[in-house]
Amino acid sequence: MITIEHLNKSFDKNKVLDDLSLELHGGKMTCLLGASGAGKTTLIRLMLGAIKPDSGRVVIDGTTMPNLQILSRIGFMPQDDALYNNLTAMENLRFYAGLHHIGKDLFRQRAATLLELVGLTGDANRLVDKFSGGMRKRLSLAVMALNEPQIMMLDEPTVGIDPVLRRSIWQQFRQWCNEGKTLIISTHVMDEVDRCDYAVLLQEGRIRAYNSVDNLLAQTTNGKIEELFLRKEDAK
Amino acid sequence: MKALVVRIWQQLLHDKRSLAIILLAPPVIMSLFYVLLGNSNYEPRIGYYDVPPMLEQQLSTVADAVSVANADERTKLLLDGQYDAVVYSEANELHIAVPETNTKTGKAIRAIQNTFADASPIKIVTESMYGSPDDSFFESMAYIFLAFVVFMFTFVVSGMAIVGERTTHTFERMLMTPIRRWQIVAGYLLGYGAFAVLQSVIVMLTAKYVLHVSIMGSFWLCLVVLILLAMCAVALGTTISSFANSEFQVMQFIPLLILPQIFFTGIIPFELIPYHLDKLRYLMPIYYACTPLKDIMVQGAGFADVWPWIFAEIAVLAFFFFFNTFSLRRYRWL
Repeated sequence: MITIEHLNKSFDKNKVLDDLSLELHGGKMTCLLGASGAGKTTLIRLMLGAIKPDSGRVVIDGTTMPNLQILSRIGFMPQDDALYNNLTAMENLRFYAGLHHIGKDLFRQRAATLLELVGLTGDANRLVDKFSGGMRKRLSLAVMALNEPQIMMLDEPTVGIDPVLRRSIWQQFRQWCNEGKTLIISTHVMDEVDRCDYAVLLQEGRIRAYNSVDNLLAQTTNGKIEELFLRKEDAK
Repeated sequence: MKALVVRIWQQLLHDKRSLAIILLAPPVIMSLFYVLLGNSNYEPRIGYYDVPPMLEQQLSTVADAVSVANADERTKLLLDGQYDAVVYSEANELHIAVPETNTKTGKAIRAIQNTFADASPIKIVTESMYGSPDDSFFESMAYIFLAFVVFMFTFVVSGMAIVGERTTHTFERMLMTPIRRWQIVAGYLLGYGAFAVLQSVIVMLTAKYVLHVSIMGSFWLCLVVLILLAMCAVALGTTISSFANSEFQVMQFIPLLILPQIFFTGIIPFELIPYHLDKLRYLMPIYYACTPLKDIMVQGAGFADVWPWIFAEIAVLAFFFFFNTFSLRRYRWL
């Protein structure tokens, strides 16, 4: 369970999150939906403890963030691939495995499984510099899952990738969710909301709606979450 | 931390250009200094008229000396740049005329003064406690070049470390793992520090065995001082790197932070620096290395003489370590 209590955050007098309170369900896939600048990335960074809130707090499984022990149970996939171009795929994985204190044998086993999962087994020893955008995205996903995190936070994970890869990535997300993991996925692609269990609609740092996707879709006339989003926008 | 150290090594080993800059550029630059600032065989061109015959003879042994007809020809030859100096006597005084003051005319002036001194009944013999008056500029200042070259190159490479990671967002991703801030600082220090050690060894070996720089004291003690300076440069580089927003900004710090270091290496005697600005040396990491390096290389000082300086270098290193650990709070407040 992730509890967000009265979170406020401003950058240079620009209020990014405004008294945001929320309880995210464990073992579910929750989508943070909002236009660019709505505060999705800031919310993820606050949940991870990367930045300090002006006020309020984030509590994960009863522990106030940031906390190193909780961090070791979280997988984070940033919007940018955030990989070392002058290292091979395997060296990238080995580095992050080291940061998570994963032993050699366990690393070999997990790296082989994850590289197969993302279809990069044959490219394990190639420099990331030579990878295409899609390959980089897949490797970034493997890095995120390396420590077998219980909580996965993914910031716009499907931006800039082709529909086939996007579908396979969402299938993987669902599989992880079915295994009991908590996924928090930020996106500005409205169509992707259907794939999640819950959705948080963020607008200008405030929660405009938070409910199960089924309930949110039931409030629309055309079965598209975009309608709900635009309705909130018009009502502003 | 070990993962970070290994990653930095792997990155540098994959990056052949950076590796070449770290390991090969410093000895090449040192050798260039050696050639450019070594003793040259230049023979000054000196004209003379109305001087004692004994001086005429002596001058031709140390310079390309030619007789000049009169004052008009003197001015013409000097302005045309054909002669470095013209010596003549007038009203019972010996005059030396030069077109301008520079290293070349300085050499001509010294040749004339030495000739005159040799011709006088009282001989002047210069005795130097350390080194030789005949040492080239490079030989007498070798300790400065050693320190500055190592400091500069280590700073440039490590200065790009964190800022490069921040622009590619790998730094943020690393911070989202259970690594501690002090482990990040120590990881960078050891990762780049290993190459700094290798660089210091190469530079010292080049100085001793290729350029035959005279080292009166212990080679190993010099190496320890140089390695500690290189580590300080790594620490300063990572500090700047964590504050800069781009690689370009790191480059802007070089004239601001690195070039002034050279004025506090001992290249200018501190007593000659006006307005108490010499006190700024206490803020310059290079000062704590150049002073003991000079003592060891020129005066043959041992560990018992230079240990306070080594301690000072360690203190500078410790300061940057704690400062960096604290300043990383800007990126993760845990």
